[in-house]
Amino acid sequence: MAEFFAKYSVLLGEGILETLYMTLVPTLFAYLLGLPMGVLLTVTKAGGVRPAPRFNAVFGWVVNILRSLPFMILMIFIIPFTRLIAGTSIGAAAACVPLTIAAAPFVARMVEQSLEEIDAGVVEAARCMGATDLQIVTRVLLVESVPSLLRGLSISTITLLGYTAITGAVGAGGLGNIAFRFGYQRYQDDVMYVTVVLLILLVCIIQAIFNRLASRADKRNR
Amino acid sequence: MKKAFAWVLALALVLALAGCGGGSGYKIGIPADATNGARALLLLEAQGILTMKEGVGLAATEQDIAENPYKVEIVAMEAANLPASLPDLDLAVINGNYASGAGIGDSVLVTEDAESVAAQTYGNILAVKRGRENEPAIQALLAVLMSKDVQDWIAANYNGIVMPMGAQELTIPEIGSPVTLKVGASPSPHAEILEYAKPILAEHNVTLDIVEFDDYVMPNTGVEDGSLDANYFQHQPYLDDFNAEQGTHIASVGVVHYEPMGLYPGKTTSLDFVK
Amino acid sequence: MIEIKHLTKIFRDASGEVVALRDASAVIEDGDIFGIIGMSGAGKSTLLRCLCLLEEPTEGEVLLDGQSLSSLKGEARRAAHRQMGVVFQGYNLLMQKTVAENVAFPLKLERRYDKAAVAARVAELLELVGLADKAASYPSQLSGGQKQRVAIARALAARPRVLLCDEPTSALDPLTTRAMLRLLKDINAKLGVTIVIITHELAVVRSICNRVTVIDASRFVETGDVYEVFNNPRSEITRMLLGGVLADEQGEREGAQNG
Repeated sequence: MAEFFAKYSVLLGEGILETLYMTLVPTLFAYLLGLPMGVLLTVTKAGGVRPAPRFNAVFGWVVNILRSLPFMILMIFIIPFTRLIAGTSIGAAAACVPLTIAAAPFVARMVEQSLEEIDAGVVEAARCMGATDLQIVTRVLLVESVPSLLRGLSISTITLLGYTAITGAVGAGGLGNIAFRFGYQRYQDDVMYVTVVLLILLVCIIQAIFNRLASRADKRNR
Repeated sequence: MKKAFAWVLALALVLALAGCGGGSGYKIGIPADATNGARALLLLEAQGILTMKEGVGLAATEQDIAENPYKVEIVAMEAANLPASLPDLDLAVINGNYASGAGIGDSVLVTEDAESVAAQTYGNILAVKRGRENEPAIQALLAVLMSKDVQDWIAANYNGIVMPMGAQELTIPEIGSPVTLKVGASPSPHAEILEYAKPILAEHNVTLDIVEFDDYVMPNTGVEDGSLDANYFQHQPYLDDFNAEQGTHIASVGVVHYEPMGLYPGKTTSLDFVK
Repeated sequence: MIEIKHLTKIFRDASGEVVALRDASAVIEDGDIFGIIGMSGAGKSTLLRCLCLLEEPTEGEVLLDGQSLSSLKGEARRAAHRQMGVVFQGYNLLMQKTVAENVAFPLKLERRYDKAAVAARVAELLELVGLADKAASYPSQLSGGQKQRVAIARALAARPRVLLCDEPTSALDPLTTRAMLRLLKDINAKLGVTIVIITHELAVVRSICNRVTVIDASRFVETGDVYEVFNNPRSEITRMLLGGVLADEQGEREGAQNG
């Protein structure tokens, strides 16, 4: 046990940091992109705040196409773009670029789903109070859906955590990569078990934090 | 709420920028998979770029680096991605087939040499059913494959992706009546090399019947059940595993060629930094 | 003054068309408490949605002080919206905002009030509807009647000239209903706000409205003073509505005697 940690503590410590980094940074940037995308998907829908069915159909297709690209392929396909943004195509920082691109359309759909949960009556009420379309988005849709958005955020974050296992292919490290290279390929079962336990712990912690935030934010069940 | 959001954003930006910084030493890409990764590290060691711990051999990982005088940063990644990542690396150790596929085969700085552990271990062998190693026709085939003629031909025709193990002066036994040898081989380079050897063997009364295989099981089962006299497609560790798993009795007669990994230039174009 | 002129609303979709309103005309004077009564499916909700600009009429128009509402766009349309406060049947409150924030919502949309002015107006309105002590509560913590009061306070926040109420009492118990009607009457008297009440309950119309339109099968069948319409019903549907009420009241009286 002591010997194991003496040998692997640095590797695993770095792995945790890399995994957290590659999870949290792309999550944030994916929301910067995906939140407006999700709003756009919702408001342009037929019966939405500002219906634009043709735009909605095209944009929906774009989002679906981006979502259907396997992450591994996307990551390699956009290497030149990654290099343009991050200055390099390898390592954890560079991996944030494809992770963001892959997660943004996913986030857009999560956001769309959250916004659709809002009672249409509340939107009509705001319209009757003289709210502009933008005010309806910023003061009704985004405010009323905060608890649901937070729950979506936890799902998105954990999905990204899953993607980080694949970024080892561009030398980005991370726990998943350690589990695969050392645990699986070199038959070091102990490394495999420890990384898997660490990954499960990370997921549980993230889930717990966001669940807490979501229920604290939700004013409906007080 | 807005304040919290601003803090989160600021934190993320700082993190993102911090992540972009990275080390200042040489970045060297190696394949992430176990065997190729170890071969890559041993090649770097052979070039004096770093020193591995005593006796780790082909089980080496970045964890086993003993000395790293030039502070190189080892970046392990998917072998097939290495050529595309070269612009972001100083150097990379790449399998010949991937390098040549990416059209950078000519730029190679150094490759594993025939004496390296990797070449010795992963050299491709001529194999027969145990007990037939010393049959004159088999010995004749081995002698021709190891002859200067054939070995030079290998060196000249594969642009460094396939390298000869080195010529050996073996005697070709006298063969009285004509013999036909049925040999299973992978299409490239194995069957091509046999094709080149065919007319030479014909002069010594041995007719070569080359059977191409696209899989890695049939040529061994063929040798085991006698439908093939020999095969030429695999390396020793694969054969050992195969014998252990399938209960076959196939033995190597000799190592003919190896497919070396090479050190390719990225941002750094020479090995001059190594004193 | 609200003029409803030959209003027709037809909903069309792939399966055909539904006429929700046909050639409806009426005039609602300033200061009226105007009842619109009818059975479910008669076209009441469509009428309300046309009045508050949530639906465009297929034909005809609604005039607010002589101005046609359907022609309005952009800021002029939003200004017209602010002239009419709407109290919805399902309250439609913001569930993630406090009572005070809900009432302040229409004021903050306008951006011409400073913080203190908003706070003062909110306090005044909560006082009016009797919820001063609930300012910091969330809608989920309130009863149906209290939510309705918040909705009324919110609808009045921007000082509209008209208050449109969609079935304001249908979800409330009789006691709360009476209190709610008293509140509406109070608002009409104190603030001079014209009130339009959509309802299926005759008792509501009888207790606070001065004028009424009876709506049946997408048409306005009769319009006039409440006293006149109900004492001298000219249509079958009015008589039916009255009959129901008479039976109800009789039952109530008998119940009271027995109790």
